[in-house]
Amino acid sequence: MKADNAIDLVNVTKKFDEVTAVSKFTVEIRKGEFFSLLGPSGCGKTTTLRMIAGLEVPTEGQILLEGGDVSSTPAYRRNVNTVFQDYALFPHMTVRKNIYFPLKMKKISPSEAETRIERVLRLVNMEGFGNRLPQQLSGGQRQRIALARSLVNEPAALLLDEPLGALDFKLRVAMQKVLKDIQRNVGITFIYVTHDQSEAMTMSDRIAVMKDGLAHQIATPDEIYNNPSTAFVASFIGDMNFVHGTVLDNDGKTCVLDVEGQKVTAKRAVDLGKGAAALVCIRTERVQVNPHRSVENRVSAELSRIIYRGTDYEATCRIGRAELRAVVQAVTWDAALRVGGTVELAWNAEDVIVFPREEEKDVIKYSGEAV
Amino acid sequence: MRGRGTGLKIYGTLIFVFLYFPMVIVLLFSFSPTRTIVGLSGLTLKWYQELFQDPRLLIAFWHTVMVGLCAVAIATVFGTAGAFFVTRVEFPGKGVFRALVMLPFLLPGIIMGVTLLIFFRNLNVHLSMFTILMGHVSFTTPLVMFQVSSRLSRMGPTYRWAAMDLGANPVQTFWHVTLPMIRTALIGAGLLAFTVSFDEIVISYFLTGTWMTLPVYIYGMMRFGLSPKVYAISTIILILSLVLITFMARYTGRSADTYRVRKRDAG
Ligand SMILES: Nc1ncnc2c1ncn2[C@@H]1O[C@H](COP(=O)(O)OP(=O)(O)O)[C@@H](O)[C@H]1O
Ligand SMILES: [Mg+2]
Repeated sequence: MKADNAIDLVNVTKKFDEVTAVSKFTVEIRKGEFFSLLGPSGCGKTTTLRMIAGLEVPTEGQILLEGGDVSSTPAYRRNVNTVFQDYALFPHMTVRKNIYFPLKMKKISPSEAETRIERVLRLVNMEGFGNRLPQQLSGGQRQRIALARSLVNEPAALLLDEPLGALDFKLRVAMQKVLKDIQRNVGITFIYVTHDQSEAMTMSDRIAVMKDGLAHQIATPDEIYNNPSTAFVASFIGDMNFVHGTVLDNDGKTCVLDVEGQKVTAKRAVDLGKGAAALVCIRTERVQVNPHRSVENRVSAELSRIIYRGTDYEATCRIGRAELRAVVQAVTWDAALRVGGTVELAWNAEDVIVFPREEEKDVIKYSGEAV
Repeated sequence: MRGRGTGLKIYGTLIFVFLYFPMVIVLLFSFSPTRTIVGLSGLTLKWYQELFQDPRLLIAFWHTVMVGLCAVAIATVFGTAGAFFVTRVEFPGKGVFRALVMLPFLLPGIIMGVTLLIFFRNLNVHLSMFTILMGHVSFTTPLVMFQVSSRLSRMGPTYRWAAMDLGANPVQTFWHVTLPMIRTALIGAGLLAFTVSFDEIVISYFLTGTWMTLPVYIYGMMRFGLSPKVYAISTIILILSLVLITFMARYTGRSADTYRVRKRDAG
């Protein structure tokens, strides 16, 4: 709860009848930070954002804005602004009047407002669109105007609820860069809601990964990718292999496991005792096929499927009953490999992540891939 | 394919004729100098002149306009308030409540008329303009409420949230955002309510004393035979209704149309 935090959430909980939308959410969001709430649909991202905006009242907990408790301040007196998913531009007002609206509510003089409107239109690259009506703009343009309208009062934090969700892929990627640039320019704290992990990874300083109202991990993209704190986080971000294993030995620094009769070593602190059932995770791009260099983990496997994807190959391999996928850059792929052949798979001990087997139920499975 | 198309065209034409022929007849005979339905020789404005020399008819016309305007004013206030209530407030039995509120509009006029008459009689309320007005308010209010609440629910809550988020308190939100966005629905509902009130006869007939509205007066006139004056007044009412309906169509359309109207207004 330092003074230079933009927003503090302290044990914030929201219940709708019997549904707990958000559960004991605690986080400190620093000034100027690009902070993302990431998670599958229904995990409580929007509810969290709406509580910060003041559009929803927490059942329990406290919300601090720049150090001051705003838990019982109505939305219209909170110095935060929201970019809604469907933009919510007022259809009966021109672009200029839309942007003037928050200034008028703050009783900013018309001449001062005029300068600010021009400045913010320039910021989002929409000069000359002031006299259009929202319905005369494209999706991407509306998005920029919604952004301008929310930024014109220079709020303590800007809240964005899946702002790029309605745009097609190419425009979305372009707008990600625009948003990131604008955020750097104005230096305002952004709280960004998305269910798209790559969007969160590329844009954020820190990410809170949520599931069923719980924040599983709050950390930098790098930390979340390399040191996921739960199997859910591990599965939700990036492409991960999950195989069953049993702990053979664990000294707190190195954990040796049995996977389908072969030894797998993990070089990290694992909180499981000898004989415990484990879920062993390895990133697909960290698995090497027939490597030249010697690495700690080597298992032999049968190549069961090869998929060419342009920049890379995805090789699915069988180790007993377990299945492991390796994603190999096309330039380093050995064209002599055939389905049905035997290969040696290898990976570094640092790249092995181990979770208790109970967490397997939280694993998000993509496109019917076997765990 | 072609045969079916032709069949449909004939069918459509027949329906059209069936619906509009009587109106054309009324229109034509209102300009006919002969009192009979047969034969039409020359045109005259005689019946229209007679209309304007009938003070009782003019008074009835004025009564109708007055009842209509008052009913619209009251119905707009109550109906809009009701619309906000049913779209914003959640309570058990809301569906039943909505249906019950619509009843005065949907029930046969004869039921409403008798019910209100008994009600006023029991309260010893003298039949007057007031009773007729209450009758008209009873069925125009649900009309306005229906129009406005369907616009409100089509609008959704997001604009209101956005307004509050941008610093508008509830009053400012209503004034600057919600009201302008339901404005066309209000105008459309008002016009519709006025049109319906203008030609309402059944309920008015039960609640009328000596204070008559135009439809009730016309009905009285017809007891002495179908005077060409009736054709003339019918023609006037027909044209007036058409004008009102045209305006109404501009305002009560689906969102695409209403946006077009708003676009013009915003310029
Ligand atoms: N107004 C509400 N009434 C009842 N349940 C709600 C309401 N808003 C959200 N929920 C529930 O809370 C949970 C979280 O919703 P939400 O915050 O919208 O998730 P997300 O934005 O991550 O998709 C969901 O189960 C949803 O059904
Ligand atoms: Mg959401």
